[in-house]
Amino acid sequence: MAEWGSTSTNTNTGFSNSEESQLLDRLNRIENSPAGYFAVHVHLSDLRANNKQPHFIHIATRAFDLLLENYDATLFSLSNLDLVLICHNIPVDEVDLVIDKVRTLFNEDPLAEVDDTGFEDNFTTWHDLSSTEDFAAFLSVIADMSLGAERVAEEAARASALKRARGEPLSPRNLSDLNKKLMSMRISDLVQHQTCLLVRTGGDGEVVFRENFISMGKVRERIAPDTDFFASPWLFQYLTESLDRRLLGVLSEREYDDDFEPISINLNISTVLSRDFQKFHRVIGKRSGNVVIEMQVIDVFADPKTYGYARDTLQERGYRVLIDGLDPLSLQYFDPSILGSDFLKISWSTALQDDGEDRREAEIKEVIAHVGKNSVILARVDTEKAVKWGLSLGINRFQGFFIDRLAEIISNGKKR
Amino acid sequence: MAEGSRNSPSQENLLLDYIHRLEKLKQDRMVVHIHLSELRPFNRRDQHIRTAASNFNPLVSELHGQIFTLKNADIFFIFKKPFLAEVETIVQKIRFLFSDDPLVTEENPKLPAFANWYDADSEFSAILGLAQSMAQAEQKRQSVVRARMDARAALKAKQQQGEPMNPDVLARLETALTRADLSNLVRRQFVCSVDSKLIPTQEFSELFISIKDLRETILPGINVTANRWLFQHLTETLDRRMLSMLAKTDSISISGEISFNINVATVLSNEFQAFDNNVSASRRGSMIIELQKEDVFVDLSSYLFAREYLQEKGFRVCLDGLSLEAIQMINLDRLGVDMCKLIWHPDLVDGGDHIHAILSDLVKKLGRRTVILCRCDHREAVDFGRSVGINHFQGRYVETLIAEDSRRRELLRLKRRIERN
Repeated sequence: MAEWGSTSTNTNTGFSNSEESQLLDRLNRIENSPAGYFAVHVHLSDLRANNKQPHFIHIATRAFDLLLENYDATLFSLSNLDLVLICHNIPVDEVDLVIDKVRTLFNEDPLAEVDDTGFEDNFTTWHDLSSTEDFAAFLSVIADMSLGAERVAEEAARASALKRARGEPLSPRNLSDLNKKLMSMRISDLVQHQTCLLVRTGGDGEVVFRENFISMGKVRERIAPDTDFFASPWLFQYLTESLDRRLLGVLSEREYDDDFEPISINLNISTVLSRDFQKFHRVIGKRSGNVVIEMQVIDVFADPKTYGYARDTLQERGYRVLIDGLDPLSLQYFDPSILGSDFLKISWSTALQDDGEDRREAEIKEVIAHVGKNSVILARVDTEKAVKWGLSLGINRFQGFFIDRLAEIISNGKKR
Repeated sequence: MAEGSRNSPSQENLLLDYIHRLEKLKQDRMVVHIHLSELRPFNRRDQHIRTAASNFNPLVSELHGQIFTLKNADIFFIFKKPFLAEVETIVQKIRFLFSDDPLVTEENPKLPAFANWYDADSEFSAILGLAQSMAQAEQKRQSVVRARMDARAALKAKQQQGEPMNPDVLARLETALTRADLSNLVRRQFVCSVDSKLIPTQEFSELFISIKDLRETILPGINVTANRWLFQHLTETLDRRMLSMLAKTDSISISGEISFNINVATVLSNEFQAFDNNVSASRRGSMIIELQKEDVFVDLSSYLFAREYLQEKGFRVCLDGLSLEAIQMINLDRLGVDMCKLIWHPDLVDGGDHIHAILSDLVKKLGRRTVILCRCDHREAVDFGRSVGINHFQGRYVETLIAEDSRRRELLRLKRRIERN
């Protein structure tokens, strides 16, 4: 992701100056004559991780600008990303308008959903500060948060230090140099494996394929530890084209038995149509049935027609085609069954397990039924929970750290 | 896609399928194979073949026969025997259409007959063989097309479009862009609704920085679009320049409703918020933000947030760059865009009734969300769009329609003035 402009949140350093302590000061002053005061607590800290990006919060905060200009209102941006709006004699409807704007921004997040009865709202909590009881309740919430703020601020400082440590962002200026280094560096020892396992009832498993890949993180450590490779998604993709060629080079040097264990490799579509791939194909020859070619869904979107050529060329030559980079969110917005691939790889995320939302789960179930459960692979599986979740939806092909451990146990068991 | 998609089977495969099923009904059927593939190329244009095929429409709609128009332009018509006389008349009519072509005029033994007739009952195996060979030929043609996307194609692109861009050139270009005055590279193209008499009504205009002119002025001989990822990075720089020009209304005129193309990342950037601060609320209602589909799917969460943000502010959102494949795949309704742009391609027509039905269903389903057919360089595109229910068009052909229309208006004005005198 690109670097975003720094926002006003999370920049507090000292405890005494934190937004929390300023809010406490304000509450103490209000306590003397609380008539007409109320507070709205917006629980942005409960958003899903992918909706808590700093630029999202920044834009959400800006939605209050007009209200702050025209009324007696103050906005506090707490260190856990929550917002607290203190209002004095403002019509509730006016405040509602702004809150609805902010809620709309996060429409896709379960937090923003209002149930039909309108009874439960997890997005905001309103406090009438002129009521002694309500005031005390709110004060204690903020006091607790203020204590926690110190810890949150420390974490934020660590995170921003870490960001700095990621180094200089990838840019067209350093890209060419890096690319040259990437093309000439020693690389064969960086090829890693991850197993895709077909899990049968009773805990038995069968290897579907082993993905061969070169971790960009490892490459970075070796050639440019001071550069942030992930600063621009597009320039990162550019580097992967070179990485493809290196990986194909390594794999073309290997010897393959007639019944070698199936492998998969993740390639750009442009690489599949390149001379490097033709060279690899000459090595693999008739054994292409044991090779799965993975392609990224963004690459497919960028040029569906070329993807169609690449897919047909591969399938005609006996390769199996896999679409990588899907997640449960994206499946709600497009139908991957039209891509005519042999496999679809969907990333597991923890958001799925604590979702508890029948609607989304039902939708995913529908997609899986539609594309055929035997073509779905649940990836990034790092806990047993994820496997159980997948199995409950009819998925039985898995990949991820947890699966690597499982595969090891199974193969040790077989040896004995 | 018309080629190579597993999901939109070719007419050749559909024909083969149909012949397989015909076996049970063969007593009652006949087949005519019209060799339009043997016509001279200038007689074999899409519109000629469509006109020829349309002669069978009455019989097809009455379910008396089934038509297949193959990629090589040959027509197969399978019909019920009692309609033989009618079909003979139709084939004769089609012959007349091409009466100036050697296939019809010359008695050349090297050329096949204009049409071959088969009795499905007695000649079933011949028909099946024919359908099989047609399907095979089509498959082979597709692999040839694919095989050509190789070094030769790359070389040709290099000769025509210049050296492919590399990171060093990109770095130089981006530095130059921060200083250069780009206002004279801003182009405008109208999106119009077009009525049955081909009279255009301007709906809004898209403002864009001409990549072609940019290349010629700043980087002659470099193909800036050669690498997709480097080009995407370049567009982020162009976005910022576009926004700063739009904020200074004196640098380019932005009268009327306008649209412009930017990245999702740009929408969420400080530059866009600064731009938004300078735009009056009423002006936002007349602005349409165009987003590219690949950019939307690279980070859906960001897109969803950006879309809500834009629409809440009063901007309208248009999804740009959709191909036939993309439009079938993406749930446009769910993405919540106000408009979308489908890129014209002859494949849309060639895809046959199956694709036409998909498109008209889609246009109906999208209802109030406007579908725009863009890159319409010829009349064929507009005619096709209208036939599937699309009313909004953009492209060079639309620009000529606008020019013609204003000429016509000018003449009318002159005429009235003369009449008054």
